[in-house]
Amino acid sequence: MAEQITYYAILDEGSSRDRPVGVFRRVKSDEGQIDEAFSRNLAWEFSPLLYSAERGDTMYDFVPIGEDEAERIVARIRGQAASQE
Amino acid sequence: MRWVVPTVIDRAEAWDGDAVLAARNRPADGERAEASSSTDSPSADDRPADAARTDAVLATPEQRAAAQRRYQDAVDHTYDVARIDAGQEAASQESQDSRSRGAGASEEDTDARDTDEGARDAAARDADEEARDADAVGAEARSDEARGPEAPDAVDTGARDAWAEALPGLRAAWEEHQQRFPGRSRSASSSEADGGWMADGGRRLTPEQNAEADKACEDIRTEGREVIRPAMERVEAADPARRLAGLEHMLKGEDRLKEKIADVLFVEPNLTARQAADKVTDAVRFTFTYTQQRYAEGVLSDVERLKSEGFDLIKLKNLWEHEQYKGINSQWRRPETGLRFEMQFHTPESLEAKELTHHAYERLRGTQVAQVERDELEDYQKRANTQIVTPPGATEIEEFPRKHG
Repeated sequence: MAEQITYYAILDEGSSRDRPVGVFRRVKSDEGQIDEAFSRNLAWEFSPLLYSAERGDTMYDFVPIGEDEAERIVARIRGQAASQE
Repeated sequence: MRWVVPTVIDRAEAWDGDAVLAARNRPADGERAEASSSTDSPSADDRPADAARTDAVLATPEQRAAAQRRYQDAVDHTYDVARIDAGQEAASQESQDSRSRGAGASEEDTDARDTDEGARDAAARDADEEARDADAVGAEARSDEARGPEAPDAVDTGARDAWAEALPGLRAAWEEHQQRFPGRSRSASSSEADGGWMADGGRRLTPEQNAEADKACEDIRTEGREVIRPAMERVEAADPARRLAGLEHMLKGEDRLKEKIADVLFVEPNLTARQAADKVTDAVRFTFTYTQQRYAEGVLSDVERLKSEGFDLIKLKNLWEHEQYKGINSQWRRPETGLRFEMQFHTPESLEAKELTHHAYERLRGTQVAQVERDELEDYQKRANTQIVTPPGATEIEEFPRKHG
């Protein structure tokens, strides 16, 4: 099975798809499935937030986006982090 | 027919309840005489004398005994089919345990089931806190249903029987899963020597964040008890046909709340711990359960009542067509302080499905679940929720706000 990656913009009621609070991805492969958020450590790391949302948690919405859009969000987060250093 | 949650959310004063009521197109006029605002409702003190709700508020041993009898009656009635079908020693033992311990049995039974996962240690007890909460909620839902003011109709009986019939197989499937995939106990959260905090999944708070989180937790719990709960009891008093379930578990445990604070800070590192705590939607949580026939109308009426109490509706998520979870969850905010809380809208059966699958959900949230197990866990949750009868009109209740994008 080829690796399948679905990206999501993480939204809350104060954000928008143009400016989400974060970015998330679900990676499926022969080795399994892993949910990762682009974290405060500026890396893709495991996060249970999507499972929580699927179970009814209302804190965040997860909107599927393309890889290009995900990369733009990652770049923005990196830029913000760099400007704060 | 489309059931619409009002789209004006900012403040109750700005919300036109009459217009919404007119637009709602109730399915059976006169089916229930209800108040459209809490001001028309009886006070909590007007509730029937037999409305004692939980052990937490039962003042005398006699009251507790009566509540336990009601609970057991409900369990016996609801699970006759389950016990007959199971015909197993374990089921028999469970029934006996339940009879001997009454309303307190639910939590204990959860612990007993956890034994297979090695969850007897303190760490696992912490990790299973919400599961026990959910069990208690379910027990109360069953009890509430039995002592409701009206006998359930055929739709409710059918929904209950279908669930009761499925329950033994679902429990057996979970036991089998546990045998094939022995559980891993989540490590206990701990306060670090420097004042920081760490928990399962690499969650952590710095000393400064932990101190701020401590204060936030205390403030949230205080406001939940002193402000939100009384308001929920006023809403509850407006309609004797449904009840708040699991009120004694309305406050999320401190470590579980800190886990969620850490989860928020993981993706939003620029927030303070206080801001992250303020985003957690279920630090204070409530559940209403309704009969099948009254579900759709009841949810909409209670949404209105919550607004009339001055709370802002932030989100309403309709999950009745989802595979992994059934129900409606809503997020609310008290505008004076920004405190958020959660209100879940269930039937007794959907609430029980939630509690039954909680351990599967906890595993799915874990960091080291093999794909083969993950597939099984998702299948299990799907299988359990497939047994839940969707109340008439439930899927027509619109989410709020409308989808992003």
